Amino acid sequence: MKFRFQEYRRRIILPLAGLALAAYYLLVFLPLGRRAESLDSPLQKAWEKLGASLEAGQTNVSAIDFLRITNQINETRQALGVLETAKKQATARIQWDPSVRARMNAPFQLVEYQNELGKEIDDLSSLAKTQKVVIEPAVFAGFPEHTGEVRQPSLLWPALAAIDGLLRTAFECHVSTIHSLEAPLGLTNAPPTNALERLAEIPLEIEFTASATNATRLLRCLPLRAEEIRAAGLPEAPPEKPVLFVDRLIVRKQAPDKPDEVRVSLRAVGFVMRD
Amino acid sequence: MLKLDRMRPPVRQVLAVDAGSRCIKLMLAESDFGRLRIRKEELIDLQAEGLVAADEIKAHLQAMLEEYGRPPLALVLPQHLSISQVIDLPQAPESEVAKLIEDETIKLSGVSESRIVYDFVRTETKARNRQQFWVTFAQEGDIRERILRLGVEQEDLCEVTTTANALIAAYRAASPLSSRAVLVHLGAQTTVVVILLAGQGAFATSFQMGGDFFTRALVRAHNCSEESAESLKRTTNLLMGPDAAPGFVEAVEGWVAELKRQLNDWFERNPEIAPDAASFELVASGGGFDQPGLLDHLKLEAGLKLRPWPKPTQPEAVSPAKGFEVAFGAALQALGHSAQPVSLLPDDYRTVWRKRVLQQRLELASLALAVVCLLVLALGTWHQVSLLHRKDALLKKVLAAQDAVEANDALTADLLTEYEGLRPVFAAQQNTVDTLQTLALLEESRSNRSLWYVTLADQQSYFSLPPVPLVATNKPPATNAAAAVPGQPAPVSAAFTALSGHPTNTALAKPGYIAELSIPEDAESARRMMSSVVNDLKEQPLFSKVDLLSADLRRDLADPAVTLPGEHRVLAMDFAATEFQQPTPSRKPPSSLPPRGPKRPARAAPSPTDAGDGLAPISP
Repeated sequence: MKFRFQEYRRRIILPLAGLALAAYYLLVFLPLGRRAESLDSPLQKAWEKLGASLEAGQTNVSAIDFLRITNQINETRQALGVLETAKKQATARIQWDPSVRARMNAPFQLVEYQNELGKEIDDLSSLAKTQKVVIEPAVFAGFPEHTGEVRQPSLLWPALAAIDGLLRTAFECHVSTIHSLEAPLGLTNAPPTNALERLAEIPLEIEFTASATNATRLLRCLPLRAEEIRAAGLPEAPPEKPVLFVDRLIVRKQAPDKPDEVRVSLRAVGFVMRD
Repeated sequence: MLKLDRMRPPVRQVLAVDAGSRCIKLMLAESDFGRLRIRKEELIDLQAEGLVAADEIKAHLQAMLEEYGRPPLALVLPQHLSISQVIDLPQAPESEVAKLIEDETIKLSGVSESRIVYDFVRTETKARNRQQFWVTFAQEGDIRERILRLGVEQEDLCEVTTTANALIAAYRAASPLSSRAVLVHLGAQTTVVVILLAGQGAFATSFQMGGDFFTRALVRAHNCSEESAESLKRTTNLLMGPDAAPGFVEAVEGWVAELKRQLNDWFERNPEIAPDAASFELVASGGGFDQPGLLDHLKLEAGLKLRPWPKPTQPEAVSPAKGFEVAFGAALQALGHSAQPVSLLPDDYRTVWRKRVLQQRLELASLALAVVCLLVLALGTWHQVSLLHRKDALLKKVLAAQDAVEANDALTADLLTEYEGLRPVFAAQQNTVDTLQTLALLEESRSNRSLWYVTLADQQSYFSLPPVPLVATNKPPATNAAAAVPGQPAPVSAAFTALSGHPTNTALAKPGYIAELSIPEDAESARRMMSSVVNDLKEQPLFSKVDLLSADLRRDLADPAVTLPGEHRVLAMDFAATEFQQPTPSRKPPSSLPPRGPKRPARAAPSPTDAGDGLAPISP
């Protein structure tokens, strides 16, 4: 029987098919498998890194909650939003009078400050006399002074404004005597270098005698702005009065013969938000 | 288990070769997944093609085979070279049947130098304890001579069958419901007569009278050439009408007489069937019946109601062209579509063909294996690609999550930095509100109670003062800058500055207040009143703890002049915990800003105006 071309063609098909399959296996299938396998290592590393990031150093994390990660970043963004709102409210509350801010931002001039300090003492003395409030000598001695060690003299201005606001409010609340006043500023500190130090504290320590009712009124007026004081029906306060917060408080009854009179030691603080 | 014997290639082709004296009919048929299709039918007119010599026929046929792609061949053996008949055997085991039939065929064929090639199929019989077989046999020499004459001895011969068996197969395909029929095939030289009973072959014979016999009669009658007579025979009704040729009619009547004789012989040998002779369908096939008026003449003059080859009853059934019935039957048998396949393929060809089929089966199995491999590889590839995509997607997801975590860390750091920058304001504001609320609550606690507060101090300031000596002989510590003189109140101004010098003292201090009060009542009433005041204050969410301060922790802050001896009590009030008091310990963001302890609702920026009115706790 002849071995014809058709026969040859027919017989060659299977070996060719086998060769094609082998070639496919070697050239396509195996490289594909190796490629899939090669992803194991980076995947394992990425998984362990992510697990370590999530579980504080644990690399053998079997399951990762991807949804939680997404939720977490959303929550953080939400928290940032809430904080931003709170920051705006807090900043608005502790905002100083524009004149004080202008002086803080301008180069400090001692002469200007000394003039203002003297004027302030004169004004407060005369107002105390008008309001019949006794001011002991230690009060004016406690006003903040500029010395060679002061590295942030611009803070003297808000300190002076805070004292002015505190004393004028005290006068309005009819305290009977102001025994002492201190402004223990951290003026010797270096200017802030980071966001955490952007907030400067203006502490004021005052000791005064007043009726319990008037002392309480003064305490209530401290954290309020002038318009809020008016709205609350409290005694008038100067419009530029800064917000002060109660830090420390000691209230003591003074004498058995004056049951309504108390002596108050107060440490109040104001804040300056520096740009 | 895979049965290789039954396994056939799903697509098979066969070229049926029906070689007559005047023409060769070729039919290329195909079985495509069990569905039969006729690919090509071709008639080679030997005279028209000028193929006279045997070598010319062979060469032409080879050219045709080449053109067809050399498919396996199914040859039709002229009926006169074979004998087909029913053999009646006693009941015997299947293994002995072949031997019995072989013996019968040797007896029937007589003495011969050539081997006998035979094949048989079982047929139905009503006789009890008997079995019948439709046996066809021929001398192997005749078969080989036939193969050599066509020059196809080197081709793939898959089937050799007789005209009668091919006619039976073709008729059964065309009329599967017809059980009784007489097939009359009028060829050029031979007439083949086949009788079907119960749809199976019962009798087959041939006699040497065909179309050429009529032509020669016409030549004699008209004294013309054979070509002219052949042409006249095909175009003119010479049996009836004006062109009727008496000599031609006589020839036809002679043919009819021979046909009837053959049929009568068979009916006489089968007397039980003879009464039903009229029930047999008479079917005509072959080129001889193309003679105009022949079928009508046979019907009218001879009483033979021959009808043309039937068309298949089922519309989807395959039907051969006119004149290709025998080739079609051979193709059916070769492709396994015949119920009574009878093959006279010589042994060596059969062996080669079987080897060929076995090889095809192996190739088919190999192809199936290759397909399985292909499927497995395809599946594996799909799996690997899918795995690759999933790993890639997971890697991207993990990297994206890592970026998200890092972004979250950065945001959290920003959040904490921002929060820490503002925390002193919140803490101071919260402390102010708590202080004012404490003053209001203490004032409220005096309502309808005969008590008064003599001192109120924040715990930081209070505990920064030196403790009261419990034993009178104890001396105050020399190092204590704010040492108290027993019986005298401690200097208040020292409270704000002495804090850092007393770590033990500061450890006692918590966010909250200390209130000293006097109750001018008898001991029992004073105790009840004290309990009542403590309980009232404890209910306030402002405080986490309200209780009396133990004597050893007390400071000498109140002026003795304003206190009642023995009626003096000291109350410690701790504010509920607040996160504003301490820096945030971890980098995790606060869940809300700023949460307070469980007893107090959280407030982001407590307003100092939250404090109540009428704050005058320290009054008579």
